[in-house]
Amino acid sequence: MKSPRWRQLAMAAALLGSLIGASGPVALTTAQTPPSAQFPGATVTIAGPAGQVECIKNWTGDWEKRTGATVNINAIPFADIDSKVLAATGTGTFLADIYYIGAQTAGQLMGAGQVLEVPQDVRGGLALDQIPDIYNKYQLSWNGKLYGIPWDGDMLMLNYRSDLLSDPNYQKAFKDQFGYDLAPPQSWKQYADIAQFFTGKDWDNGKPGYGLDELPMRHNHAWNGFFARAAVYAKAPDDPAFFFDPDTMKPRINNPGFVKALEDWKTAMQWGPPDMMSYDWAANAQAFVGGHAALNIQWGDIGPMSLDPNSSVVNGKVGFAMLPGATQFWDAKKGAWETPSEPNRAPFAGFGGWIFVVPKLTQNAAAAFDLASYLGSPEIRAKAMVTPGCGVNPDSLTQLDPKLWVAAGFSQQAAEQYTQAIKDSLTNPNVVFDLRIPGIQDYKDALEIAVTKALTGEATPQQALDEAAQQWDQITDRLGRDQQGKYYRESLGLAS
Amino acid sequence: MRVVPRHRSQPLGAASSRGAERSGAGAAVAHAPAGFFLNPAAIIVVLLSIFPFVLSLGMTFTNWNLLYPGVAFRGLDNWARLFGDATFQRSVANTVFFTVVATAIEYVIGFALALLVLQIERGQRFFRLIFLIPMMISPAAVGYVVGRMLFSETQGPINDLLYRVGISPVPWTSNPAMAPWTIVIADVWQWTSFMFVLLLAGLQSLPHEPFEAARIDGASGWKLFAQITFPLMVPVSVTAVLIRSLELFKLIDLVRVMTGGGPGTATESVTLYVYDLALNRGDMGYGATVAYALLILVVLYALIYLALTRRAVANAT
Repeated sequence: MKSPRWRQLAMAAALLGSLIGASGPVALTTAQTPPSAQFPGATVTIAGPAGQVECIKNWTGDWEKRTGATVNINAIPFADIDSKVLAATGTGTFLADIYYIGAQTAGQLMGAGQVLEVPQDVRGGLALDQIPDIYNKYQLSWNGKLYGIPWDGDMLMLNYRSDLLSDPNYQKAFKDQFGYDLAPPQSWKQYADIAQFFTGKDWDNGKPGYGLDELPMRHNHAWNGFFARAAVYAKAPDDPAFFFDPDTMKPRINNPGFVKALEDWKTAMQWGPPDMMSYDWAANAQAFVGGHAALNIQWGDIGPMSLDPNSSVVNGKVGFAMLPGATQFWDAKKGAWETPSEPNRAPFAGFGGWIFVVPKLTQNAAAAFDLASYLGSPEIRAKAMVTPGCGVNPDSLTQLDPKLWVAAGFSQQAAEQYTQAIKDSLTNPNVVFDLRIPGIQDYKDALEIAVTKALTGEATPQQALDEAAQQWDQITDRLGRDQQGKYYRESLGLAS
Repeated sequence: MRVVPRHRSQPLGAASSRGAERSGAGAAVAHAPAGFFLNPAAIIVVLLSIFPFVLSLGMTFTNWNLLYPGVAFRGLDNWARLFGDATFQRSVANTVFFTVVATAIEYVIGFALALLVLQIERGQRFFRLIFLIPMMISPAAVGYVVGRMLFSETQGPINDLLYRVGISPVPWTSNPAMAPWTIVIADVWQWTSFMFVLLLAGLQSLPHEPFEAARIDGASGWKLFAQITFPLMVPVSVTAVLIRSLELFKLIDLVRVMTGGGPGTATESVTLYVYDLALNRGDMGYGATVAYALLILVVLYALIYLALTRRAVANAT
């Protein structure tokens, strides 16, 4: 008697499964996008980082009125956003119709074919021709296909106290001590000199200030903090690869270029706040706009944050520049140090920016793309860029018109510096885009453990990076060396 | 017919079942309600405890990763990986440190406070309530308020106070040697009250006779404590230390909020590592393996601890 009953149950389950499948994500593809842009009664869920994704409410009301649809925001804590999205994707669970997600994780989804290609009919409204190659090629696309809708650009940059660097007394004292003029640093060596010079000086709040303010915290941005420094020492201009040898997937992170960067950073730690090891993004920003440090490595957020009278004491006192360079770099292909005629510059697009992608698991692809492309239009992005709390940085050349930033509260000089620094970084031919292959969380943690061990003196930079490289090899082997190599080459736009 | 007496503690369903065999249809009716009430509980136990336990054990032999499709059997690969995993080994060492040091400090302070409060004739309730407050606060809040705000090295009031009296700021969370102690301080701040409550209840329930006899014999002060109070408190102490240490083996909230396991891996606890592996990196197979390794460690600890304390407990009771 048991057997027929089980068979009936199995058949019922199979029938139910097929019904769910037929009415679920598989049935909705871009090919079925309705001709009308109206979606009465539809609900579009967008999952994104809490504290940032809510910002889209400023504009979704208009879209809801126009389409008759409702936007549902699923705000997920920043620390959990990647794992939630990847876990939902891996288990085939619906999380949202649109993922508001970082380029690293988006890259994994694109490579694995888990997100839908952006339909041709919505591309026209995105002004993709105004978006620099680095974002079109690495942030929004995978292997030549467009999957992402633009929202935010992320480029690490140097922020400095322009009032201190232009102070005649400090300029004289600096020249006396170091033998050259005090100016925005062109190299990490000059950066270190300036940090050393200002450490311990009391410039405005009755307490000794710090020379620099960076991002060394594990489980936060130690990855970005390290590669912001390492890129100029380890990225050869004629070699698109940076993290791995693209042919063998042998990690490069323990070669002399990376080791030199870590040695520099370890030395520089003495000129930062003593608790900088536990500085997350917010603490880093607050230390700088709170007036405690002369130099700062961060994304473009510092510019708008410096204008906020509620948290900033440095309004009008901040200058902006591309990350410093280096007089030598390690050429991994040649296995030798190279000395270019001009300092090597290699801006690092760490994190890579927030973008929108529509997962294959969406329950309403047409409405999802309509909403995402509405938010990703140049008009809305330009508004988001200057709206406090959005955390949106420029990602297109039209957004780098100084007039927009003067209107937002920058001085003419600061606006010009700010936009020029980002423009120089975005268009630099040697720019490094962040790693975006499967296993990024594992690679990141192994690297961050090694870096923080070196910074706290638990290991030498060489030992720490050797250990990390060994870990990277193990991760690559575990995930499949050939497959990882294919992903890495594709992520760079090389033939797979 | 001989009537089989039902044992007082025997389940109702079991007795009815046996009766049904003997008295036919009438007893079958009596059997039905017992099954009706027992089955949901049994199903819940199977679904919520036994199934996850067995499933997670099975996961340790796979490469299941939430982030990538497909699961494959990997034999003992995950277990072998434990031996070469420096982060796991460091997290075990850290967890043992937190457990031993924090439990010891909490026990000593908790016992001392309980003895002091016991001396007070009026206001015991008030102090009991005051000391209970830290335990009522969410550990995440304690981690943030005590761990991050008070111990902030550049903006916290503790270092500011030290600075004002001419003492160099303490690198509470940025120094790998200091950070584990800062975690211990925060844990002691919150959980000493747990020891205090249990030990105070134990002290209040001690018999008066041994104390009176000892006083007649001239014992007082330290002698009374060492020879009467402490030995009589061994059973309560053993229980309190066991419960607290088992909790500390699973420490995650304070560490996650205060240091995130850093700097480096200086404060990484095993549970935080499991969380990171399974939920941040999606590595369910290896995450389950590390969790099972912790379970084995805790079981071994509990067995050894109970074996070592058995004689002392027997003597006291």
